[in-house]
Amino acid sequence: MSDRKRVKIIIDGKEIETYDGYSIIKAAEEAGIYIPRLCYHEGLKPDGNCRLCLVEVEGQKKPVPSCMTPVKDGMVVKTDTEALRKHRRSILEFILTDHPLDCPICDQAGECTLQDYYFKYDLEDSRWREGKVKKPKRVYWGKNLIYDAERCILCRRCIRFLDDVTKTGELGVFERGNHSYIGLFDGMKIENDYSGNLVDLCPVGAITDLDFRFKSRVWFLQKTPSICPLCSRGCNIEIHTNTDKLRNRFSSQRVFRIKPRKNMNVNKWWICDEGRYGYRFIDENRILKPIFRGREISWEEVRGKLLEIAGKDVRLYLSPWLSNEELAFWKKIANVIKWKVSLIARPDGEGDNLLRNEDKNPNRKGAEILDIREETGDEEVMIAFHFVPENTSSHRFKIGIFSNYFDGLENFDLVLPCATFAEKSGTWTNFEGIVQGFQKALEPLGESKEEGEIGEIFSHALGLSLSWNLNKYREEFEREYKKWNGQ
Amino acid sequence: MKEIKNETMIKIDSIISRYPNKRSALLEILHILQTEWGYIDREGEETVASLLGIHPVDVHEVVTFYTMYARKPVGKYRILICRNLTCTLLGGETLINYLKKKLKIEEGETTSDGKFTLETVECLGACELAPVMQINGEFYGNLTPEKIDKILEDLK
Amino acid sequence: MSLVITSWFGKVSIEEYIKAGGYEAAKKALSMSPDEVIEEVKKSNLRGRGGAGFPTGLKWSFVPKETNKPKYLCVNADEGEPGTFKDRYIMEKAPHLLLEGVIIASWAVGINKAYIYIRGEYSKIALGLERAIEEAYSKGFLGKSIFGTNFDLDVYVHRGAGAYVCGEETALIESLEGKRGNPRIRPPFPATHGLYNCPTVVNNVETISSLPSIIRNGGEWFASLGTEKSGGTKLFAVSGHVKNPGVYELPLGTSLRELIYDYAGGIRGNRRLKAVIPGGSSSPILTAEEINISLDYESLMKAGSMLGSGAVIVMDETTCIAEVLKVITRFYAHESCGQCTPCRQGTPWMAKIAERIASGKGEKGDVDLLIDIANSIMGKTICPLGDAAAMPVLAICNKFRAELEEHIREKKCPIERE
Repeated sequence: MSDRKRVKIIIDGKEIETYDGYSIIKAAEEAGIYIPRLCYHEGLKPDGNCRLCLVEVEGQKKPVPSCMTPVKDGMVVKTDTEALRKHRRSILEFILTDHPLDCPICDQAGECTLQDYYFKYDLEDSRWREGKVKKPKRVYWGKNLIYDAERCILCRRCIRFLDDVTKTGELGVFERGNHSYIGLFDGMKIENDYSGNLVDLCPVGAITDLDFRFKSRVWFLQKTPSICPLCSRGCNIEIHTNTDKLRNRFSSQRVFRIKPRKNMNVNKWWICDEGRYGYRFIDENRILKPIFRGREISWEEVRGKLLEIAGKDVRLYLSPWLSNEELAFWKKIANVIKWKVSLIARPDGEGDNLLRNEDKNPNRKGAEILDIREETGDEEVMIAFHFVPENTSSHRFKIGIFSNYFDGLENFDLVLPCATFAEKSGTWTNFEGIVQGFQKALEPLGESKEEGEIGEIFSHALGLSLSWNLNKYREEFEREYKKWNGQ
Repeated sequence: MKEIKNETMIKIDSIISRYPNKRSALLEILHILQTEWGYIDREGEETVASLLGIHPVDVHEVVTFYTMYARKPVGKYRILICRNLTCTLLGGETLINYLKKKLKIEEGETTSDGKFTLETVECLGACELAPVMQINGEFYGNLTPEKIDKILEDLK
Repeated sequence: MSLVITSWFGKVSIEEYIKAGGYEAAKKALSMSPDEVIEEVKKSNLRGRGGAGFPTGLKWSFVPKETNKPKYLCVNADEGEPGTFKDRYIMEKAPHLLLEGVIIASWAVGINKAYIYIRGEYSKIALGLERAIEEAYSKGFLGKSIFGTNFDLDVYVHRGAGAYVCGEETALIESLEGKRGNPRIRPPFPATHGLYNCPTVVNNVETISSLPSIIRNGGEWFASLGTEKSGGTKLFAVSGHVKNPGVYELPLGTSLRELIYDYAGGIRGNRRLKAVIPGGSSSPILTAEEINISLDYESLMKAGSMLGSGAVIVMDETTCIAEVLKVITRFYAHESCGQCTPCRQGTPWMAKIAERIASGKGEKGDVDLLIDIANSIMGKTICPLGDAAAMPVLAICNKFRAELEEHIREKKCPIERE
């Protein structure tokens, strides 16, 4: 990007410097001038069909689509004249002639570009007096996609995504004129691993998510930035939760959906369906209390049980789902108390050439930086995080730290409930060595505790003075990171 | 996959060879196969898609965009009667209603004996003969109810 | 009067055509350099005869000379503009005139493959063209080393399938590529990025068919037949309430009155003229008082209309203007490809309003609403179909507002009809 030619243009009277070849809409946005748009999306090839982004360029007779017009040195652009304002109102009015007034029952309400633009740029009554067109609604497209042809504004973002990004090309436009609608070849379904991005892309409620359908109004959701834990790419996400008892009609669902966060260095604008729909474990099937040989106990009683492992040989299996800070903390404990440390990870899975990596753990790199290796041993005591090591028969006392129930839990003598990634803050290092932070979105469910807190319980029970401190162990990790990075 | 006669496949191959890109032959192949199959249905679209190495959704996109492709069976004679300006100026609307009454069908429908399908179309490019209709590629102009009677009678 | 095109009508077979002097111009062009040919065409002031009226020589000069991509010629035989049937006449009655023009154009621009995109409804005419092409191949006028030169030229007929929008040059190219006829955003233009993203020239049948006479008699001769800025003769397809509908070839600059009354026989039944559409349904309507206008590109543009395809639709006093508006708006709504918002949503809206007015259900403010919708479409769409839909609405609403308002007020048509 740095060797691209710089040009100067004047936009709304303001002189700005931008890159030669940038579209007007992108140059304007970077200069803080937002030009409304429906079919333009940064991550897709521009299409110029909605006509909402038209701007006036000196020397051009007609307004031009700013998404498809590259800037030229010395160009003079106007984005906010009276004529353009009238034009935007007319485009919105045109769309609203066929668009059904589904807002009261449409999931998109509250995050709908059409709604937002109407309030920002229009607010005039519609002059449409004819009947509304009738088209297919609630068309199931596969996976979690539902299409509503009446709401569709034919911006074609969905088609362009499947043509250009996933290159699977399932969707097309059928019929002509205002009878047009988008669909699949008869009998086919969308089955690719990135289908959920279509819901994000659709500016209106024409493509909605079956997984989220009618579950919550979006203005009741809290949004917390986080990182997806399901593979080593570390796609940036947002966790959308609703913990307001009055406004959440589900007794046990706190997380309602996962959305991508834009990060040009990691996942750009997208996430895969595994990450998008793989959030259920945060609320479902959670272990809520410590369990000792099948019996629920209190954390007080846990401290008592821990005294019994003092002085014994211990193999500590750390997991690459622990944060950089937690890994540093637990490694420190192990070093002081002379436990053996190894890594237990989730097995590899399917990857692709878009976002999904075969390594299905978020922080293997963090473990590598701290030199934690996959090894086994036959020490008397085993402490395992999140996963079950092979061949545990040699260990006589097994302590497991898990968030969710699974078959085989009963093989552990002491089970300690830990928080999920959504219930703590920390950082992970992705497969390319990028350190990324995730924020706490929820309180740990039941009596589950962050692994850092659990570490402190172990430390104090075994007579160490080490305490859990996020910042302290972040600094510790940073030191190791610099060493690993050759700095 | 739908069956295609050998002679037709030869014709199709020669059409494909006219273009540096196979897909360009799509419109013509659909015309040819419509003549053979009578109309283009889902199976037909799949067959054409595999002939040209394109996604069947691309074929459906084209079939639904252009007016000349029939998606369900049509009559032996497809009557396309113009409803555009010159034909309307010269009484076309009356003739359209006359045909509907005579054949006892609405626009887009086929007579119960499968002989005639009636469609109203836009300008056919024969305005000097207005009011005009086209049946299976043949133009019939300067229409009157009597002329229409005779034309339909003569079509076996 | 010099007849550039119609004098060849009837010379359908290649023997008849050659006997009458056909293909001499092609031979002459092949003995000139391509640049010389382009110069003659520029001198001739030939402008696109499909409707847009773009200077042909200038269009050709936009094609890059140096390129390692193949170049293509697409002959626009889609002829969908309501009222137009002149290209059909050329292809039916003088197909070799078109082919000779194709040879000249291809030589000038350096094109070895030409496609004649003919509308699907002209299937019989397409067969005739294929026959003529076969004849030309058999005589060595097409194919490898045509006329004994080392220039190769292949010509194919390509049928459309029913879409007026495919008469727009980029939609035509999309359709030729086997896709929906969705116009492309320009820039880039077909001259650099056309068929298969290669340099492409798209020219109308009549434009191409004018080339043989330009080469034979020189560009200046052709230019002198018309007006200062519009060279040559034009085929006018006259239809509607005239005694003698048909195709008339007249020098550009002839008056509309002359065309209607002296050539097309005047109004049938000797009725009064009410209105005329001078260049296909996209061209703004003219009232009976405006027919002294000169039929050339500039004069009509100055009068707020356009020469367009030269399809003259004549309307007498029995015409209900609300019906005319209804039929025209219904056409554009039906033909909109649906890609861009203003055309996709605006054209059916106008059609619905026009339908209500014509059927006695118009409401106060409808005419102003039509004008506002049309203005919201003008200049805002991807392709000129939006403008083509808006202009007739604006013209009819402005010039015949009283009649439309009467429809709305009286809830019925004020015209007495038999």
